[in-house]
Amino acid sequence: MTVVRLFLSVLFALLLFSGFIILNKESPEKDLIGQWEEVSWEYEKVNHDGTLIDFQINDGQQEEIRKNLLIHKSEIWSFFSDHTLDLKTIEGTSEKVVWNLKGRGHILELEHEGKRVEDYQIQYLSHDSMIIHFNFDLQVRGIVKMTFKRKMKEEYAQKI
Amino acid sequence: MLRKYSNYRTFKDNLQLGILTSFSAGMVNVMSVILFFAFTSNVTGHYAILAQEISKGNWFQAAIVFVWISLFMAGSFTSNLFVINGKNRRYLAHLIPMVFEVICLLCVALYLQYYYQDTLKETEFLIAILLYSMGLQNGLTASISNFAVKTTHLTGLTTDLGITFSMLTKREFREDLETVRKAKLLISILCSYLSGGILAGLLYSIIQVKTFYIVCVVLTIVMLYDYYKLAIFKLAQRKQPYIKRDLLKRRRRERKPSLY
Repeated sequence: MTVVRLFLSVLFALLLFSGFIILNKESPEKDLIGQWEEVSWEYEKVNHDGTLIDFQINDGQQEEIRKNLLIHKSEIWSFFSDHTLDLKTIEGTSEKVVWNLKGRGHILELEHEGKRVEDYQIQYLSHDSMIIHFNFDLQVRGIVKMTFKRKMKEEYAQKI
Repeated sequence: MLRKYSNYRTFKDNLQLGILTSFSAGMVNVMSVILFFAFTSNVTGHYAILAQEISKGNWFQAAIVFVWISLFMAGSFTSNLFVINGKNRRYLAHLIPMVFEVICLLCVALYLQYYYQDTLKETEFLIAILLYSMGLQNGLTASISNFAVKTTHLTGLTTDLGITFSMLTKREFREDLETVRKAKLLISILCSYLSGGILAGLLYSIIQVKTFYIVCVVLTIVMLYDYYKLAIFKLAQRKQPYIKRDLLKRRRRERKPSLY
């Protein structure tokens, strides 16, 4: 009985602690808001003959894969608090999509015009960096690992 | 399905309860994966995620997952509380957790249909309600069937099925009615859960979140089935009290209590 009481006490304490964290810690939604710049694209579980050591791919390969996949070609991702995301492409054009977080805040869902939806898994999110995975089974087997760095605001950069 | 308790339940009672409730659990689980990217009828994966989030230092996510797991447990706790405290009015005691479950599912369906804004807070809250409702269902079915029927997750069931199949390789167990019945029950629950999931996936592409109403209908059938039987029994007693009572007594004596 003592063990059960102890377990229940720990359970209640942990529940209170969880409640405190949920109320006081910022939701991942707030962490996401801001400008993010793509730093690298890596492919995990890629098909290879065993001789390839570096999974990072060059711009040409990246462009080729992007052409065939539904992933958009964007370098700067600007998340706004009204759940819109501005995707600035390499060519300078931009596209506005709707973003939402799902699950426990680990799924980033992007809804394009025409209701086309892309889902990314957020692997790591901190104040200045973000790693997201995109699962796909189209022409390249595996997971795309996209790494972002937070872009500081220009005024802030100028001040420094 | 709901009226009888523990060893007084027949194989048919458990089979009916298992098929219908696992069908609804399969539907709920697939719906929650489609809508929220989270499983709501089982918590094994959530324990793994909790450990992973703690090791990563993602305290917010870990807290959320911990609350979800606790709510599943709270659902089972609530169900069993009604079951053990309602010995005099057994049908009602077994009915209340299921009514709670239907209310939870209806709330989720209505919220999704009219108010859902796709925010993370809403998503986390709706997952929490679904986990609580699945905890209610699993707690109820497990406790009234003496742990023979568990309908919301298949890990234990798959293990039991493997064990039962291995037993069936021996002739003595193949001839044992209990073992054969257990295998039939487990296979039925498995198939029903899977069918529910497939149907939910198909229905979602047609009627979207309204699929939750179908789940509510399935659970209402479970609730009303016993009510209908009780009503017929009362009517029969009123018309031919002595004959019916005699018949029922004889039937009870003949029936061997069965676990499965």
